[in-house]
Amino acid sequence: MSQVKIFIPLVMSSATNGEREFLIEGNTVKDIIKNLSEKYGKSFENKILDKSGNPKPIINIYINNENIKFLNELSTELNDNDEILFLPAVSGG
Amino acid sequence: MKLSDKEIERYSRQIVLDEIGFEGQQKLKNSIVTVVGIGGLGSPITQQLVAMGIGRIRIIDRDVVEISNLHRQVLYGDDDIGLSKAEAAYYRLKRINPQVNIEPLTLSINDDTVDKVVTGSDVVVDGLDSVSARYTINRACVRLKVPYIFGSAIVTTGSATTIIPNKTACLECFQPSLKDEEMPKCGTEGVHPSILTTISSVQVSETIRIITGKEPNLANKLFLADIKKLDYDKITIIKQNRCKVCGSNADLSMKKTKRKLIENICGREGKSVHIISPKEDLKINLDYLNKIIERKQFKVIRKGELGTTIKYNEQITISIVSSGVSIIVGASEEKRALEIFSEIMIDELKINPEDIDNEFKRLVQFN
Repeated sequence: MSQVKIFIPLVMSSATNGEREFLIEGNTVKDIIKNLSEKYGKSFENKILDKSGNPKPIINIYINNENIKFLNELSTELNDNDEILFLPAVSGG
Repeated sequence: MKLSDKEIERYSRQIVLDEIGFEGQQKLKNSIVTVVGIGGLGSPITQQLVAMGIGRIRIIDRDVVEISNLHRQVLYGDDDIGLSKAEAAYYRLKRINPQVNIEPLTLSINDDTVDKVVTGSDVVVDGLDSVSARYTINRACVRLKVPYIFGSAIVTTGSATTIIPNKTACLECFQPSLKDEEMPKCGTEGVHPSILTTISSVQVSETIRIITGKEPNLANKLFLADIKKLDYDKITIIKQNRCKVCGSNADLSMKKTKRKLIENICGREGKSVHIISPKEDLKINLDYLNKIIERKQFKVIRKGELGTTIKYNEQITISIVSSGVSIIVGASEEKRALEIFSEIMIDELKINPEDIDNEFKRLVQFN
């Protein structure tokens, strides 16, 4: 299992009980999502995930500053010390 | 062009600032800024930029003023309901600062119009409310090498960043592959006016920094704020090598966002809204249109110099702006909206259907 560092913006930190930087284990982004869902339960799921358990379209996930939409999406493999950022897209104006 | 004594007095409180100064004020006077969308963000953006003495400002919006705009779109008042936003904004902004050259346009933002909108601008500022229009502007700004100040806001959350073409992350680097139909909408989610003024002020300060030759604060940074608890972050975002717009294999010669002739947007007061965007700026002769309206005895809700809103019948209202963009509220389906549009544009105004859309005749016949 790789150990990676998660970064959560302040505006989304209610999803992780106010925690913004922490370590978690997982070999792929999908593993990380699953582990975060188990750790933070409904608050994480409501804010980040859609009904099928995948990240909502407005949630961008970056590994070491690279968007997983340009990588292998949720199947992107992780290495120790990778930094993972969850970033919401804001619409409207 | 140099500053007159009257201008020096008018702008004295910002000329005294290190952040702007005399030279900076002169640069503002000699600049051209384009604000795309003059709604929730665009209203306070244009208000500030015009008051601050930008030389020339291009304002673009295809929409008309509605009562549900008025709690946040501070350029408009009750008297403006039914009037083209570009026109209502023009008159309001002229009152704020008559010395500024204001160019109102009633266009939809799409691949057919975007070059006209962006070309010649020193900076483009985002007051839009749709992802597809933002992508179109972002691509044009990267291609034409014009800085683009992105901003967005919904509910109590907002974000902003400054995009310097080929130097910083562009919009599709940090939020690629979004679809309008998947995004939350202000019409259903709501928006707090305070997040709009927060984000718009950040966008204005970035615009001023670029014009006055300073490093923008939000190059490769996303300002992300929520006024609910006054939470905010500046998050590093970086240019993505695989970005379709500014990455190493980008191809900007291809048109990526096809104009939609007709869009069905979220309802107003429970009624369906269809927006029809011709491919050309039709430069409608509004005097002639108004004569037709009189002859056909349609009830006029609001008549202006850049557009007219009428009651077509008890259920349906139509706003036609000078570019030919038409907003039809209350038509039961696309087919009906196109029929009404065709009746006015083709049968009455004798517009060439090819100027509306290459497929227009076929669509009206078979829709």
